[in-house]
Amino acid sequence: MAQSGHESLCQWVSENIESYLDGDLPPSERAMAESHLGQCATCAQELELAQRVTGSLRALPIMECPERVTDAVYGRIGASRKKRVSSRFSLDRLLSPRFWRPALAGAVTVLLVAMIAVVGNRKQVAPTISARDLARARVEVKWALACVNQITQRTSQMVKDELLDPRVIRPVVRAVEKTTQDRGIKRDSQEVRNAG
Amino acid sequence: MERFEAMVDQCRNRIYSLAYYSLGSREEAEDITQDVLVKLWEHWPSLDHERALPWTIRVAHNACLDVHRKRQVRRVGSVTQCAGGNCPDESRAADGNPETDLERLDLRRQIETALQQIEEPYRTIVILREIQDMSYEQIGAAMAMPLNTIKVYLHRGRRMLRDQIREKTDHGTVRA
Repeated sequence: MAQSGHESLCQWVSENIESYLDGDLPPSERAMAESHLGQCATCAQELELAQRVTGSLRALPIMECPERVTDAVYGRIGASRKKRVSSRFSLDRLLSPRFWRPALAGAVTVLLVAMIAVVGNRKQVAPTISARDLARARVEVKWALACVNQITQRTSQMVKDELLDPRVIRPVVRAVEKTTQDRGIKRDSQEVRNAG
Repeated sequence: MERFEAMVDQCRNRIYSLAYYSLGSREEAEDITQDVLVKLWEHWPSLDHERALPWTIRVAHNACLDVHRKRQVRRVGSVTQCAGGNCPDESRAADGNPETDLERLDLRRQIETALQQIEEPYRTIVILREIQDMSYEQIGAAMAMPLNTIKVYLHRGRRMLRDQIREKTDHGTVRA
């Protein structure tokens, strides 16, 4: 019976050895564990092993991440940022509904406001629109014109940068340069032949 | 961008360490660290920056799980690498006595190998708590677990390690 009590205590210590090491046991249980550990060689050995394992674990260093890893990260981030920026100004975006819908809405607004203004001018003989409404309409027209102007400028710049420059102007310039160069070579060879 | 760079400096060694001790391979640890940091960048605008560290630890833990699943737990990497004299900071275990140093180094290698053999989430919790000295609160946030569970799992993980080491000791690989 006493042996059975000893074994069950061994099992209890074995199960709670980590809590004992971390100081998580309540005082009464801690005293019981200490008393048993002082008498039982097997459990004392187990405690020693647990201490060695925990000590070795805590002695393991936090590994240093090589610089090349963060370099690669910033490289990948830079590439994705560049891609994001260039896609913001791409021709596809220019032609996408998200871009041209606001532009169309702006143009329609301008037309409507202009029509209202014309109608308002006609009715000056028998005015039904107040001066305040007219002033507001003028402000709206100005705002809409400014919007259209901005969109036009941006669009023309984009068309130039994305379409004209790379697809028309540069190829034409290159072709002209090549043709000039070829003619020069031909002329030179003709002169050489003539001289011969 | 500056805050992001500061966060990268703060968490890159932790991610790398977790992946290295979990997988026992520098190459895989580098790949995982790189992927986690790129993901951090992608989620940076919508992420609560105060919780970025536990977030990266969780992503790294999931990435390690994926690798373990893929390789069906091939448990050799760490010992092979360290046997080649590639282990960092081995001097930390040295105390000037060659025999004791050898014993400690041997135990350390056994522990690194044993770490890869215990199950998840015990392994990650042991690494975060015992090697990286993270608080229970930080680990709980990273693993999305209550503190008591973390403690229970930590003790269970250490016990698993002890069982592994005892098994080796019984086979005469580690000198007591």
